[in-house]
Amino acid sequence: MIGFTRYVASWALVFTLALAIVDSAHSESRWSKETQRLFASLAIQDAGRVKPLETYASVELLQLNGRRSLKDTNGQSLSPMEWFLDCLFLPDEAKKYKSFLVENPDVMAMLSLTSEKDRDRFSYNDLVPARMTLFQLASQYASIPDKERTTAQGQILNLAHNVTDFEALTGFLHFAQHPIPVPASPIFAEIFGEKTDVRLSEILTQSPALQQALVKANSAGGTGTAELRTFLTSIDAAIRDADVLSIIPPAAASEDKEWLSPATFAEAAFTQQKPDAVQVSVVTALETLATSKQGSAEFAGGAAELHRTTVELAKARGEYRTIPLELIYYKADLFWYSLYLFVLSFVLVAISWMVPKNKLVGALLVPAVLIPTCLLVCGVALRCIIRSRPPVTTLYETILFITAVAVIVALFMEYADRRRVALSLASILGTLGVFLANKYEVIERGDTMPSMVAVLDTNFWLSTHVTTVTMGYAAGLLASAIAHVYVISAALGLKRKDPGYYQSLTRMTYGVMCFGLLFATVGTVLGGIWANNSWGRFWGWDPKENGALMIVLWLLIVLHARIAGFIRDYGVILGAICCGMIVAFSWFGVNLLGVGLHSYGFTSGIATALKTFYAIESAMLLVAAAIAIWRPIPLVDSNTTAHNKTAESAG
Amino acid sequence: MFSMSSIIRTPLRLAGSYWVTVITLFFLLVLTFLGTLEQVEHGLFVTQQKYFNSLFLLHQFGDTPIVLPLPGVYLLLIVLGVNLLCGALIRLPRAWSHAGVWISHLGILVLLAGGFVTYKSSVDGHLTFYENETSDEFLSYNDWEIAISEVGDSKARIIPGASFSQLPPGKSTTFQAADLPFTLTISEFAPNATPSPAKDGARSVDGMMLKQLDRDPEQERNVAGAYVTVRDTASGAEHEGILWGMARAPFEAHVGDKAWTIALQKRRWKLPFNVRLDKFTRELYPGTNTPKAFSSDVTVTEGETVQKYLISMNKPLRYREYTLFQASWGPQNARPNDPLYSSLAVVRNPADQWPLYACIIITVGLLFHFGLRLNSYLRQQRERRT
Repeated sequence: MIGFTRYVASWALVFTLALAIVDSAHSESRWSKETQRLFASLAIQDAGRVKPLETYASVELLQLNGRRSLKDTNGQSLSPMEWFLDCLFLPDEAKKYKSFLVENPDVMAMLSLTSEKDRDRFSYNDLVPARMTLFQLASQYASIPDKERTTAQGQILNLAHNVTDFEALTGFLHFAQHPIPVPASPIFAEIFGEKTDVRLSEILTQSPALQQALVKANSAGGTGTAELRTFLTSIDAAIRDADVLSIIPPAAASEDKEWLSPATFAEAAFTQQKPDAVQVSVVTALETLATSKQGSAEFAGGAAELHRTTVELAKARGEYRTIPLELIYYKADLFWYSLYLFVLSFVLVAISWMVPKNKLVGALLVPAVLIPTCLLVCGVALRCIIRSRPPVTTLYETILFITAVAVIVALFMEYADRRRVALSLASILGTLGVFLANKYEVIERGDTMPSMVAVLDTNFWLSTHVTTVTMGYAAGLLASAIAHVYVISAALGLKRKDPGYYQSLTRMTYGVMCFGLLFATVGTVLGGIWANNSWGRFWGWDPKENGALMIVLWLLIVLHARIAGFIRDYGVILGAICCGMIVAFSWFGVNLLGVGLHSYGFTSGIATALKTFYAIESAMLLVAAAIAIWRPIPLVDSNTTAHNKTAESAG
Repeated sequence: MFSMSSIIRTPLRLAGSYWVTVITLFFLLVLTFLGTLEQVEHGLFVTQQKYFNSLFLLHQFGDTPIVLPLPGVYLLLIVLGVNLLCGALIRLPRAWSHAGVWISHLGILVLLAGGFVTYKSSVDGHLTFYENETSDEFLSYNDWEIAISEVGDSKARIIPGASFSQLPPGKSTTFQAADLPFTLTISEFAPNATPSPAKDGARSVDGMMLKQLDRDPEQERNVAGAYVTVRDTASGAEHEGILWGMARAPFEAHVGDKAWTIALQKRRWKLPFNVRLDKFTRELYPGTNTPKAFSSDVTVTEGETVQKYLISMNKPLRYREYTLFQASWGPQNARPNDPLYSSLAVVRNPADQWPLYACIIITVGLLFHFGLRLNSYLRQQRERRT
C-alpha cells in the first residue's frame, strides 16, 4: 500500500511540475515582456473605477471569448494582453482570431454561421457577412423585456454588444495612424506652416490658436469659416473611434473625476484655455506607437513614454495606489492555485481513506489543506485591500468568503475531533467552492470588482450584516455537508462497528447548526437595522430578507424539535440536508426571481446549476429516507440530548 | 377535582409547549416561502397584505382551482409571542448555564414586540420636493383619501381611504357631516383606473367614464379612481363626478351659493416642523450613469429654531419622533442640467430602535450559550482523546 501511495504522490508531483513548466514556458510572443508589462500596468478608467489595463483586457477577452486566453491563427495561445495589443496595433490580424464565442446553435442558424458543434468560436471576419443581420436582430430584441427574451435572443444581443466593443477597440488608434489633412488656406499656414496634414497632438497644442482663428473668422464676416469648419469636421471623423479607452487622467490640479479618451480630450481641448502639456504627450505617445513597427526602438520608446506620462498623472491624483496590487492579484492567480492544491489535497484525502494508518499521508494531510486555504484567504484579503472594502460586496465574493469560512470552521472541527472527517470535508468544500467561484466568474464575464451602487456604499454595514449573514450561509452548507457524510456512510455501511463515528458526525452537525443560527440570526437582524437606516423600514418582506429568515426559521425548527425530543440524531441529519437546500434558495434562488430591492445581486446564469443541486439533494433525501426505513443505522444518540433533558426538566 | 394551580398551569403548558413552537415556526417558514414566490406575479404590496399582514388566507396553487387554507403571518407571530411568554413562565430558569437561552429569547420577544408596535402605530410616507421648496407634510405611498374643501378655504375635511377603498363592486357608501350642505356618495372605487371617453352602456359623466385597469404589481404605480355623487341636502339636486388620483384639478361642485372641491389624493400627514430642500446632490461614478451617492441638504424650521442637516443614503435625519431617509430622486429620465427632485422617506415609528436593542440582546445571549456549549464540546473531545 505504501508503494501505491508513493506512486500516486510521484504522479501528483510530476503533474504539478509539468503544469508549472507549461505555465512558464510560454512560446515566443510578438510582444516583448517589457512591452506587455508596460501596457499591463497602464491605468484606465472603466465602469466608474480606475483599474490596470491588464484587468480591462482580461475582462474584454472573457466577455468575447468565454475564457481568458485564445489561439491566434498559428494555434499559439495568447494572453489577454497579447490579444489586446494585437487588437490595437495589428487589428487586421486580430480580426482573424476565433475570438467570438457563440453558445447556441439557433444563434448560428440565425446568422448563417456554419459549425459542426453546438457551441463554437468565430473570428470577426467570419461574422462580417452576418453583421447587418446581427445588428438588425439585436435592435429588434432590445425592446423585448429581459424576462421574456429567449436564450438565443439574449445571446444575439450579447454578440452584437461584443462585436461593437471589438470594432471600437480595433479602430481605437485610427486617429493616430492617419494624419488629418489641412485645407490650403492662409489661416492654417499661419498656425501649421506649410504642412498638408497634421497629427492630433499638434492640433491639440494649437487648439487656442485655432479657437482664436475661428473667432477672428466669424468677426471678419465669415472669411475662412468654411475651411475651419471643414477642418473641424475632419478632426471629428478622425477621433470617432477614439472613445473606448479612457486612459488620459485629468490634470493633477483638476477637480474633474472623469478620465479622458483621446476623443473626449480633443473635444475638451476646444473649450479650454490651453490643453495640459502632459495630457497632450499621452496622445503623442499613442501616435508614436501607432506609426512605428512593433519591436522597434521607436515603439519601445513610445510605450515607455505612454506609461511614464499616464502613470505620473495618475500618481499625482493618488489614483495609481492600488494598480500594482491589482496586477499582483491577477498575476498571482491565487484562486486558481488554491483550486489546484485543493484538488491535490482531495487526492491525498482519498489516499488516506485507503491507507488510514500511513504516517506520511497523515502528516501531509493538514498542510495539504492548510496551504490552499491560506491562498484562498490571501486572495480574499488582497481583494479587500484593493477595494478598501470588507470581504463580501458581490455574489462572486460571497462564494469565496463562504468557502473560506466553511473550510476554516471544518479545520477547527478537525482540530477538536481528529477523525479526519472534517479535514476531508474541508478539502472537498474548498475544491467545490473555489471551482464554483471560478465558474461563476466565467458565467458572469464581467469585472469582479465593480463599482458599488449607492445603497451599498457603507463599509460599516457591509462588514457587519453581510459578513455575518454569509457566515450563517457557510455554516448551513457545512452542516449539510457533514449530514451528507453521515447518510453516505450509513448507506455504504461504513463504520458500523464504530457508533462513536456517527455520534461525532451528529455532534458536529448540531454544533455547526448552532454556529449557523447565531450568525444567521444576528446577520438577518443587522440587515433589518441597515434597511431601517437606508429605506426607513426594518422588515419589508423582500425576497433576499425572506431567504435569510427562512434559514433562521429552519434552524430554529430543527434545534427546538431536537430539544423537545420530537426528532433524534437522524432527524438533525435530515434537517441539516434540508438546511443546505434552504441556504441555496436564499443565496442564489431568490436572485432568479428577479424581484426585490436587492437588485445588485441578480444573476441569470446559474439556474441550471441550482436545478442540478436540487435534483441531487432530493435524491440524497430519498436515500436518507430509504436508509431510515430499510437499513438499520447505528442510532446511538449523541450526548446533545444531555442538554435537552436538562432543558426539559427545567420546565 | 382540578386544583387552581393545574387550571392555570395546563393551558400555560399547552400554549408554551414546544409543539406550538415548532408548528408555528414551520408555518412561518412555509408562509415566508410562499409569500416570496407569490411576489413574482402579484408584487410586494398585495402579497404582503395577503400573506404577511393577515390572520388567515387561502393559498392558490398556480392557476389550478386548488386552494389551501393557511394561517397568516400576523396570527402566527402573535401565537409565537404568546408561546414564548408562556414557555418562559413554565420553564423558569434554574441554572446560570441557561442564562444565554433566556437572554436570547428575551431578545426575540423584544423583536416581536417591536414588530407589533411598528405594525400598529408607525406611519410612513414620502416627502418629495425640488430645491428651494419647503414642505410640512408627507404623503403615503399607497393609501388614498378624499379631501373636501370649500373654494377659498384651505381647511379640508378628510374621508380616510379605509372607508371606501374596500368597497365591493356595485356597492356605494355615503358620507355626510353637520357642517356640509351636501352628502357625498362614493361608488365603483377602482384601485387602478384611468378616465377615458365613455362607451355605450357605461356609466358616464360629461362624456367620460372611469376605465378600470389591472392592478400593477408595483403598488405605487396604481392610480385609484371612483365615481362620486354630490346631493344637495336642501334641494335634493345631484351632481355627478369622477375622482381620479392623478387629476390635474379636483372635481368641483356648486351647492347652494358655494363651490366645493373634492379630490382623491394620497393620504397625507402634517409634520410639526418645516423642511426646506436647499440642495440635492447626485454623484455618479465617473464616465457612467451609476449613482455613487445622493444626498439632500435640508433646513428644518420649528418655531424660532432653524437647523441645517445633510441627509444621505444610510445616514438619515432623526428629528423629534420622525426619521427622514434619502429614499430616491427623479425624474429618472432627466437630462444633464435638468432640475432634480429629492424624495425623502418619512417614518414615525415608536419602535424605531427596538430591533437594535433586540439584536444586541440576542447576540449576547447566543454568544454566551453557544460559547458554553463549545467549551463543553472541546472539553469532551480532549477527554475522549486522552
